[in-house]
Amino acid sequence: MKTVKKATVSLAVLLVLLLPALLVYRAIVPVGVASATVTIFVAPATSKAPVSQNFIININISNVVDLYGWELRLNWTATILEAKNVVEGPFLKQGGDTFHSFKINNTEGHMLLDCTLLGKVSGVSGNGTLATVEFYVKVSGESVLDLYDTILVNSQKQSITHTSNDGYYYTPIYDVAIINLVASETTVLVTAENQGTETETFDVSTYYTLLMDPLIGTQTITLASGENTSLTFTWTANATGRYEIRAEAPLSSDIDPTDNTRITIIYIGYSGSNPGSNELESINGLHIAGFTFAMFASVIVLAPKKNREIPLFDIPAMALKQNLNNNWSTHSTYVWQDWTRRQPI
Amino acid sequence: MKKAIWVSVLAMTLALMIPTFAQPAFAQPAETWVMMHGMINSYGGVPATYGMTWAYAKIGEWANAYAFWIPLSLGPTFGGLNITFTYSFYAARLVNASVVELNYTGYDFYISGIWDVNKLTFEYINGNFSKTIEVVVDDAPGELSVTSNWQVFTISITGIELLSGTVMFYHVTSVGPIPIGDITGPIGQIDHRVDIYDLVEVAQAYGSTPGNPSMPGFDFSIDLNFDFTVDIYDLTTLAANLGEEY
Repeated sequence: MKTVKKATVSLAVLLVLLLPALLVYRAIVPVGVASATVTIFVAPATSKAPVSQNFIININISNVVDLYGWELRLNWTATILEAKNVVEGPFLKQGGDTFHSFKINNTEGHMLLDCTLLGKVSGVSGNGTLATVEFYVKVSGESVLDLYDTILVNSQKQSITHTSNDGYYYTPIYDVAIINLVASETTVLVTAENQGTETETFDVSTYYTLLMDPLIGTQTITLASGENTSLTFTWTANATGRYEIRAEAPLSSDIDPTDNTRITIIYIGYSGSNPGSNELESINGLHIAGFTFAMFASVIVLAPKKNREIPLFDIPAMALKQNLNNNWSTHSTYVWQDWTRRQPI
Repeated sequence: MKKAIWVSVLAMTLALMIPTFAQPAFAQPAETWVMMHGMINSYGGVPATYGMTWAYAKIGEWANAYAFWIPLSLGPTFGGLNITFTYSFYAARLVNASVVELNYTGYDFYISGIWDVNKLTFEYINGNFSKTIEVVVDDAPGELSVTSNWQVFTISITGIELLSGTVMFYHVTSVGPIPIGDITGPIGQIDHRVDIYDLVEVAQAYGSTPGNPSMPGFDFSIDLNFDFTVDIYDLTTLAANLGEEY
């Protein structure tokens, strides 16, 4: 019994000693590498092209040995894409003359591709392109480029085990937007967002309108899809009055340019070049600014929104609220009464 | 009076039933397609060296049938100072079918029509070959009959000895036409689909002719148009059916 126990302990000790050695050995000594997996794959894995344009995918193979013939089916979303052309790739031709057959069904969105060497020749080994397929983008959308029922046959007429990797197509969307704009007497805070699918680099500019459209500043930003960022522009108003602050983020090919510009109205309620230095002037300035806003809001701001059926009352109400928040109740009342006498455009 | 009423009722009942009886007991049979492969065992009661037959048919409409066989007397010869190899065989082709039926007067499958039978000789000398075609019978009436629950068949053509053999494969379907070109599959057997395995089978024999010693690989089963050469016609015939299943 003691002997058995001793043997067990010895075996355990031996294992404890051998295990780290084995791990170190495996780490430093390359183990006999198994043959790499044969793979048929769509390249590039992700394709993109605008509507009404063509794009090309390759159907590639890697690590194959003695390939004599191949067959595959490719499926796509027929409402999005249309297969225009299929060309045999150069890979199998390395082995000699070939025969290929391509059947395309654009109604259902699939194709059957077959290709074989001819005669008593050896198959081809290595990596390469089996076929090239050209698609036309009918409408915006996305589609899996699904490789299925793939068959590889060697020169001995035996199947070659392999895996297949699908591709993916999507229509790129270029769309940036100014999603927020807040201006104060000294700064303009702009929040720009990339609402498209592509990373964009674009300019964001802010302007103020008084007599002209002086540029406050321009900052170039890069946003990945879905990202947004806030930018601060520093400026100094050089006169009391109503300022229309406009932020622009122009982007060529933007699918929705309506949100690339945003406008806000602010009031600079002081006179002179030292904002806030004189309270009385500020009060007067606010009074004038509030009235002026009510006068112009319907023309400048509401007119473009007329077709959107936004009540005209919204803008003076907002102006009133802003005045009330600043505790200029007398002047706010005046503005309100003035506005209620106005007729909708 | 009562009798008269009963007679009237009976007459009316019969009158109503007549249209029912007049209708066929079963609906009109659907279109049916048949494919059959068989091995020819004997020619004129004498065992043949080798032989095969194929038949594709749409019941009641059309049929294609071929057969080739090599009698013992026509065994291949090889030798001579010029390394000559001679390969001869008989080939029969159904030219025009008149009757194409299933379960026809005791036959499981029956085709009758006009046949041509030729004797072909391929002679290979130093890598070159010549082909000789000798007409045995031309436009002769004949029939292919399958019996014994699709186990055996005979081909009887006026002017030649009776051919008989064993059915190796048959398929009867009403689903749709049987695609031509299902020669083999992943495990070397017919797999009811035309795919790359079939294409490779034909491709590897591309350019071959019967008995060619310098380019072996010819097989009548892959010579899909039965012109005794595996060529682009066979590849395209098969390619036209790629992806088809039955």
